[in-house]
Amino acid sequence: MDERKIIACVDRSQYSIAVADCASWVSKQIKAPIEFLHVIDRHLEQAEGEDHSGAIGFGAQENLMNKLVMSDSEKTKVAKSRGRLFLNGLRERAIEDGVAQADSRIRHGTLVDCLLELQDDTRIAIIGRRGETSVASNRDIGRTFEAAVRALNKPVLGVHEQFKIPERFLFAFDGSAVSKRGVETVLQSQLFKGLKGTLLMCGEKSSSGIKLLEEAAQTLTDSGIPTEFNHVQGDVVTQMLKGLEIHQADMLVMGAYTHSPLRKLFLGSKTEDMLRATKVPALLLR
Amino acid sequence: MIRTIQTDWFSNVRNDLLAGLVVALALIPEAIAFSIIAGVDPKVGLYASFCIATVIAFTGGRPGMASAATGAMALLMVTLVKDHGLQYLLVATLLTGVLQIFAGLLQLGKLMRFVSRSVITGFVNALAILIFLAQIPELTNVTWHVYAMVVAGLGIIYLLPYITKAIPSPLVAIVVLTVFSVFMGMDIRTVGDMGELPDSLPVFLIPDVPWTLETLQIVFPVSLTLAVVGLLESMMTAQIVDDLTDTPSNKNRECIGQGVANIASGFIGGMAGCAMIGQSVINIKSGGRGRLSTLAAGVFLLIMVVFIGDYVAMIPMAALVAVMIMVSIGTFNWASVRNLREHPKSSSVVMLATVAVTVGTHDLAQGVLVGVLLSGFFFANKVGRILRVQSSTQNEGRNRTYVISGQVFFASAETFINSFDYKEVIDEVTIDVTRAHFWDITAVSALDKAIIKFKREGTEVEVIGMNEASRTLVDKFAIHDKDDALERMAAH
Repeated sequence: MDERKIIACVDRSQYSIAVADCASWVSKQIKAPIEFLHVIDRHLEQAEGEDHSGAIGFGAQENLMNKLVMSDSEKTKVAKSRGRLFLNGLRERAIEDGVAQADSRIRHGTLVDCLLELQDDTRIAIIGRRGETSVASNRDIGRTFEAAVRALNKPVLGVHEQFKIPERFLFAFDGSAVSKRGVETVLQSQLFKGLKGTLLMCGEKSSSGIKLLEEAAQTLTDSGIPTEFNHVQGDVVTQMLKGLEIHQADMLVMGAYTHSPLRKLFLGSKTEDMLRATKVPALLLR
Repeated sequence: MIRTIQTDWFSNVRNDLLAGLVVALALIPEAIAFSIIAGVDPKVGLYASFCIATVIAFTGGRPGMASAATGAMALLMVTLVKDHGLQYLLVATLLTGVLQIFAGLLQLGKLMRFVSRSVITGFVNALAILIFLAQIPELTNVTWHVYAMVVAGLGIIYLLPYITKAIPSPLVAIVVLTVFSVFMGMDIRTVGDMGELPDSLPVFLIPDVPWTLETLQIVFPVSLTLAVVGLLESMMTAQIVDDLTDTPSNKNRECIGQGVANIASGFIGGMAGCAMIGQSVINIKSGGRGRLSTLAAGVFLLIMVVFIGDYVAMIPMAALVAVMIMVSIGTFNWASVRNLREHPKSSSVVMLATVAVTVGTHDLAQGVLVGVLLSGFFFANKVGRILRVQSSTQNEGRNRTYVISGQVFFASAETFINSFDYKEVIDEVTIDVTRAHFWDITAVSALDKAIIKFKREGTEVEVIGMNEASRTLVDKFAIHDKDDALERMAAH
């Protein structure tokens, strides 16, 4: 029996409800328990500096230490009690929704570190594409989200503000090893039970590519996931977005962040462009 | 990697820049003051502070820690500068950097664990006292105006924050006192009187000395001490910043980073420096956390000094003295005075000895050495007291069994030997050392001695449990051999 859990990462932003609902759906599909993970990050790399007096007097170090400890402790206490209440709410919501087992866990540190710690017990992680910090800073895709996807070697389901149970998924197929493995994952996972799918390939037409595509679609259809396939040419991101519309797909499956962060710095990331342009849940495979 | 760069540099931009500015403003008086201590032109210290703060922002292992020209280092250069001049100091600075890089590569940062809390407190206090003492020349043989200005300066520094914390009060003190003295046309010493100030951006230059073995012999001892003191202060400051920010640091990277910064400083005509406790506290207090804060401090410092150098020359020394007294007060660990009575005597002695030796020799390395040695002695003495000997007789008083438990090593060997009653007329003695730990050769020879003494009295001796007791003898305990080895070691 697979004991591993669905890790649903929630902060106290409006994304958390979507994360929780998505987790409930996944849990009922794959019959795995949910664990709501709430991380209290004190943001040690940031400071509140109102004191620019630059004067140090008697017991300067001691006083500063006390001040910093006090302010941290106050903030964390509030965050802790709020977090507990909030987690209880989400758990009740999941249980009402018919989930068999939902636990919650509250940790100190950064989300990425906590996810890495829990990695071995994780089947899939569900994360909001933005969160408290990225809403505040107006980023389209939260930095935490990207860092988490890059760090984990488990599938990550990134959800947007609204979650609706998907009926049809679009699989970004490129014939590579990652997408072949992706097809394997779809085959084996109970997640896609009852869904219809489309394999979409984008790029130069080649007979070998089409053959791969056809085979993959056939395998999926044979095992109970009715799957179409299509081949288009043009810019990957545009075509995939168009594909979502044409095929009326409401979930995206793709390999994510296959390039190094350095390359991303100069060329941008297709994964990110795609995530930015669509609001459907996206299953990112590493 | 990108994530680390992001976290270290850009997660606290606004606060880092502001804190950097505050630190830069405090660095200027310090750099000038420490140049004067070392006996060189203020520009040597100012270039050094700019260079070290800037380079360490990239190479250091402790983001948010301020490094620049420091008093601890300046004190060690005095003789070299007096006897051989500035060029030799620059060579010494380069060599210091090289030695520090070696120390970092050899991971000597780990040795810091032998420096106890008491030694660190002693170091910090000695440093504060030395910074204060260095101000005395500016306060002797002067008119009352100077005293009045110092007091006024301290007044502004400590009282202004009650009104506003938006601007650095040391800066206000310096500006007010400078304006006042210029306006009143006071005849008191100014920074301009102390030597040359920077008039341009620093340039790369190779020290003008004969590159011979003789030069090496002159600078090497100084460099070695500089390297040791620089690393000591940097490691201690890193620890303080770690504690304040509740984040870890990479100590070995810091060692190498300090070395690189000093080499860079030597090549642009700066003196050697290291991390600064007072400035780092100011930086953290002002909201500095990332590498950007120290980079900003260095860059702001250079901009201010090069472009408003003429005004810097007008600053009365009294204003600098006030700032330095503030640094001294802020660096000193006042709680340690209160703790003198509460802490164990041995800790207090270690702390006071570190302070006394440092203040006496003006060399923090010697102070720390004495402190570390003393804490070692005290520790050995304490642990040596953990030795119990119980004895009982059997066989109607013909046999006696001694059961030894505890630590046997050089400090307790004497006690061990004396705990047997050799005068007792007895046929057989059993010494059970199963529950004793023999830590060194002294322990083994002490046992031999005891056995021989018994033999001379015609007593047969049997030793039980020697294997268990001597397991601690080997330098590397082979506790990884068996799974339960650690438990068994603790149990015997």
